[in-house]
Amino acid sequence: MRHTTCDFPGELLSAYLDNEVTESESARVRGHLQDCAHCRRRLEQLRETREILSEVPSQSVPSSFRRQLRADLLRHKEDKPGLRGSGSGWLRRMPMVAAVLLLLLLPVAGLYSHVSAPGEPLMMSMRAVGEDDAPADAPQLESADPEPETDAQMLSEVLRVDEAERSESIILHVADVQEGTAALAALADTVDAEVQSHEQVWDADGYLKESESLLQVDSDSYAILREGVLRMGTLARQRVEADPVVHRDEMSREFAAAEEADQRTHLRVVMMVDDETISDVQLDELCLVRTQLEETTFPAQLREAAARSWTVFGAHVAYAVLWIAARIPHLIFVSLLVVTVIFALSAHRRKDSA
Amino acid sequence: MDEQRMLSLAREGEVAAFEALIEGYEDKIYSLAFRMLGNSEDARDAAQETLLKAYSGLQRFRGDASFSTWIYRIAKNVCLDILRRRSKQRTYSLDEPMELGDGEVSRQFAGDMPAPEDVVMHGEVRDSINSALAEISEHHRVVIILRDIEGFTYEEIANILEIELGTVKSRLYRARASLHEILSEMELFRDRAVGQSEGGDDG
Repeated sequence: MRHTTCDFPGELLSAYLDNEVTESESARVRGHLQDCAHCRRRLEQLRETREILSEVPSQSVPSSFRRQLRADLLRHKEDKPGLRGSGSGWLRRMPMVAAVLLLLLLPVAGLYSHVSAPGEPLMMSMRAVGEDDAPADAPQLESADPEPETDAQMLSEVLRVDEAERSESIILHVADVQEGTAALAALADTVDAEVQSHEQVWDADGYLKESESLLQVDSDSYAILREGVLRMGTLARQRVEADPVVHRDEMSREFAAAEEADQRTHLRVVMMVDDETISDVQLDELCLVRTQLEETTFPAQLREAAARSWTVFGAHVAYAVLWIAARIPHLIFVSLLVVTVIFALSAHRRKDSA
Repeated sequence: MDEQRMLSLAREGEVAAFEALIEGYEDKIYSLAFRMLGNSEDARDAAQETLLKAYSGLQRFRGDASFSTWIYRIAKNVCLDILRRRSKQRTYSLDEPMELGDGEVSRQFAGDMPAPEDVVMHGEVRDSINSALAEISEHHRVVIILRDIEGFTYEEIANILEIELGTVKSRLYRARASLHEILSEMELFRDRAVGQSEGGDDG
């Protein structure tokens, strides 16, 4: 009764009770207990709690549970037969494969652009963006960079891809469409994208099943928006399907005029519920993406990056590198990096000698 | 047939193999969900959802953790999901009365379990433990259920919840301490008191 309170760590007492302490911790606890009536009482209370809980009987599933489960499993199997094939594992690894390819092809692409003659189509798309978006500021690319020619070629290579995918639809398979739509709205907001149309499908329980949003955005913010949406997919480990080809056919007629008139472009984002995702984790990550995107510095930085698209390209690469780094053991990553650097150096040397 | 063989069959979609694989887990998962969620209806839904997710996500299971850890991890996520959904619903339904009150009103509605006084009156120890569990935070709740009711080791708990061993220890301690406080208020230890003359202040 000497102590009325004591700051001896309670978790040590609790772990001592379970014999989950080291030899020295155990000695420390025993030593302390001899002196401290308060902690002896604390230990006793922990023991009481543990005992009363251990008497709680385990529950068994209701009798109809297994029958119902089997029915659900069989239905699930029929609903998604493709799911079980060997291909699905491969498909899921696509983003990683793409990232590795990007990393490996990077030096090769550099080599290609050095060896080939300065490509005219590349210059064209350069002009398109330079003139339309920032007529006054466009030359900064050349003045800012010590090797404008090389970078211009790299840049336009990427731009051409972006040009080709201007109007596209992205399908995100999400665990919670409601959350996903909110995240998309926040993302659209950061780049001043306008939601042109918004269609939602609800199921009988009032659960949002599907949502389709057509976003209109300034052409210089398009890459940001697109990147953001794709990032929502990657970070949240959701399946992303981008199908620019199919979509372009129907979209181009519809929006070509609008695009030419105000240099805006459109992104259609379809979100669907994906049953096989583990929604808890994904929701957390989606919220994380939203928070990241809402940070005030982010849109400003990326907007600037879009004006200087080589930065976007750099960001893509950096993102791919980080993405890989987080996923493969360090040794493999380092050796990949070394190979890349060697390739890049040899490409550079070849250019010098030419 | 060993687990590996059943795993690969189940991955192919073989329902019988999957059922063999989860043999014995149904009750444990249901039990965990029942203690986490406090009622049999939600527990049933959670167990069902967990096993369906395990079935469809089996491709993702690469054996980094044991099958048991993996499936409990899903169960834990499903339960937390249900609790989150439930708390959202509750927020909506309380919106209006809250405008009239002083903002503390919502705290009164801790869960949809029976009120403690009813329970004690009926003398149902089990039920009062359930309602006591509903009063502690879900992170503490899951740890104490896994340890003191389901009997997992600290290491297994750390793996299931993907937290550090030290975190398991501190959460378990806090859970036990606050549960003791709540159960004492319900006078649950009254008849069980272990011949202790020095009482009074608590830790």
